[in-house]
Amino acid sequence: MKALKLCGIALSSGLLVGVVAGSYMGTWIDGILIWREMSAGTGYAELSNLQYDQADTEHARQALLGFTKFSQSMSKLHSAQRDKALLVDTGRAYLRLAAIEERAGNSSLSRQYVLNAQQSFKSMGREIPEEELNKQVTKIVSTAPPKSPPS
Amino acid sequence: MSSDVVKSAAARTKGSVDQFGGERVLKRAAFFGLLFLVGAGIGSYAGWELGSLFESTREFQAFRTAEEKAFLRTYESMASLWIVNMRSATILQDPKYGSEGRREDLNLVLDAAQKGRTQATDPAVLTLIDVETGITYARLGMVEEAAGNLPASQTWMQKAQTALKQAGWKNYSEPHLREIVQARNLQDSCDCPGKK
Repeated sequence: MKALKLCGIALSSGLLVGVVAGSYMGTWIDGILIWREMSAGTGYAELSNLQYDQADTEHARQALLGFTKFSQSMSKLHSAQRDKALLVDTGRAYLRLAAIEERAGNSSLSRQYVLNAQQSFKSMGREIPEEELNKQVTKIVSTAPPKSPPS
Repeated sequence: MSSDVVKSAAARTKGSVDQFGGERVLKRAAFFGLLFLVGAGIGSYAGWELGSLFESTREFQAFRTAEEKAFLRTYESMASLWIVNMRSATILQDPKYGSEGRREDLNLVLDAAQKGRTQATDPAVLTLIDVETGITYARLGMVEEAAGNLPASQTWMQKAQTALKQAGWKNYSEPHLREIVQARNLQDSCDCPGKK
């Protein structure tokens, strides 16, 4: 009877220690989730930037709009709450979209994208005046990727 | 004389009792230690499951509708694609890897792209997967060229040009693709996402 009691104590104390240690280790998955969140955000941003640089206007617009929509959905992820890089990438995507619309003569839509960019930078704690962002858009428009003919 | 014999026999008996008693205690201690370890193992597994379930629930709790679940599939695809892309760029920059290793790794990118294509429904995402696929084809072409397999290199380069043309690229000439691939190998060869 005494031996059985000791067995129970040994097993249950092991279980207790194990559960505490295991629960702590289980929270390490947070690091993996953050890594995946950063990978998804960076991967999408890089590919949409590549499309902006290399593709025709329609595909560039589609890629950048896709990224802004993707980043909005991503912001609902718990791991994205502290990801300032995602907000920077989103702000930059809006500025590129503003440049595309500026070139296409859609001034009101271009301004809307500038305001969206401003909002995105504001979310990460940076208040940038609209005039400053307009200057950035003008700079992007003037450094537009050369339109090489397809070979 | 006889009293010495009795004393000696008594001492031997006591020693062997002590020895057997010590062994018994050791065996018991080992048995309880084993039970403790079994408990700790089961507890660690259960705790790990609970901890990771808590973290995963907290991460994805806002995604419930079919549209939100579709986003999560795209999200997973983009994350996997970026991770394998970074790995292959790193391997391409590392001279210790030969053609075989590079080829195998680039095929992993193609597998990830294929998997992503089956999971994504958004045309914008599908186009981006085509871009990644096109760049991987161009990388394979350059690997084959370096290995001296010119016909295979040509085939991969043509596939790259077709994929990138469909993705809306204005310049999909071979020299331009080489430049882009070299720039991306340099840019993406890193062990941390978010490097600019």
